[in-house]
Amino acid sequence: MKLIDRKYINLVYEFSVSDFKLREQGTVLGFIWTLLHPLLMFGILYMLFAKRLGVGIEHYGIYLLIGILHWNFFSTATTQGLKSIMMRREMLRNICIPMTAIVISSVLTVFISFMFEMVILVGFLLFLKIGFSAAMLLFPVIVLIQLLLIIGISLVLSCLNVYFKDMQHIWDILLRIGFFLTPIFYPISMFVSKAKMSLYLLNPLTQFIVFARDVLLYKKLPSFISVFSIFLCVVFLFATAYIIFKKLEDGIMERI
Amino acid sequence: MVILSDVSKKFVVPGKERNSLLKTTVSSIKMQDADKTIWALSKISLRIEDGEIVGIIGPNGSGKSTLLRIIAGIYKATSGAVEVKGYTTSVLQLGVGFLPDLSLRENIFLFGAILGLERNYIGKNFSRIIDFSELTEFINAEVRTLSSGMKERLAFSIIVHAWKDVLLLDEALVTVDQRFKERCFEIVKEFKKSKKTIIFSSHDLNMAMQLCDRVLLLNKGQVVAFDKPEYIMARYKELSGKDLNKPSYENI
Repeated sequence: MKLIDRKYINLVYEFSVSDFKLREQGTVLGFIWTLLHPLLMFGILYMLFAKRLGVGIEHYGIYLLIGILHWNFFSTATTQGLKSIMMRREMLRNICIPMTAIVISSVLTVFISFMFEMVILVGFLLFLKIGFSAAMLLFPVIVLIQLLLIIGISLVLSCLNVYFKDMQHIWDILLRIGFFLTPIFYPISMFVSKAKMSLYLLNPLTQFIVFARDVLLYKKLPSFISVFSIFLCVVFLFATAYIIFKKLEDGIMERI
Repeated sequence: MVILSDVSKKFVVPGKERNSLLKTTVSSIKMQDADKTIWALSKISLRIEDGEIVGIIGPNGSGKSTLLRIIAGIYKATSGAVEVKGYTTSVLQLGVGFLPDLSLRENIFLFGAILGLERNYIGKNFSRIIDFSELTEFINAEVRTLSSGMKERLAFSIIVHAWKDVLLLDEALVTVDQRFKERCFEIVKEFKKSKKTIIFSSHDLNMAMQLCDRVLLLNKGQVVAFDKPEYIMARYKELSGKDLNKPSYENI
């Protein structure tokens, strides 16, 4: 992959920014619309669980918000990534452009929104006088690892979506299951016994949400080993995804 | 320079019921609908020199677009070798690649990036691009408000700036008016002097005759003739005379 190529970066940039403009309709108001979905989710879950599941959790509101925003980033980005090649099929059939640029830029479009959401989250942190800590500096690193994972997953999904038209439904269902298997609105310790814990932690999203809560909310620095091992796992997953993508890529042009 | 030797392209038309994971599973159990194959191109060999203007003509389904896509690198040839020396700009359909809800200005930058132009290059040449398209007054309008001819004009104006060595166009300049078409011809002839190549498909015989150094006549995925325009005209009429000359309405 020519990631260093300036033309390639320029292309990804133009795709992401123009997609973002369309999504947000170029206005602050448009951005509020895309924010509404996670905020609504937040409101409902908070009202339901603040006095139940959230009782033992310090700052349950922020705990919940970090979970929802991360989950929302993951699910929206992978869904957009999945649809990306099919959405640009007309262009791909007529102009020779790298397919990876299309997938990556559709993920980056969602990433731009996610960064704005993080700014709002920081606003909440200030408002609730939780404040900042040095641990926060690790947050961008964690987000970038997560982004790499999302791009890897999207590369594979976008190809599968060309081969199988029902891929979107399948991914939708998997995401719904994933939402409940990830500690978004409940504490990890609540439902999972110690024995099954390692199995549960296989879900990479769990790891990322736990990290994010540690550094943003609890001012706790995760151990170097844990961050580094998840980084290695993600690199491995990304490499695998890229190999699968390369295998599937050849058959795509004739199917779109 | 474009050199094709023995290039063939096979398409697999999948039997029905295979476009979803669910259906694939069901139909592979039932063992129905074997895949069909179609040879869109068979054994095409040709050589196009730098600075040549080449038109591709032929009836619908004769393989014009497939051939252009293979030269562009969008499709991979099933067999044979494709060699293209130089930078290829392929925009098989003028107008594809624009986002209709963004302004002309934004689309010029977007489409430029698609063609491999850098942002500051477009910035520097911005007024030349928009002047050539004669759409200066619409610069802040959304692209969806343009007519299809205007869209083609805008696309061509950007393409001219991205055209380095080989330019590939499919059914180009179908919707633009005569005056703009002639300006494009001028540009193409001017670029020819600096050894730039253009290969385009068309149903507009006059345009092909007027502009091309050589014309490639395709039929059913095979080269019928590849020669100077005046020789091709007769062959094309001969070809279409068989099945196109006498339109019959009896079966309708």
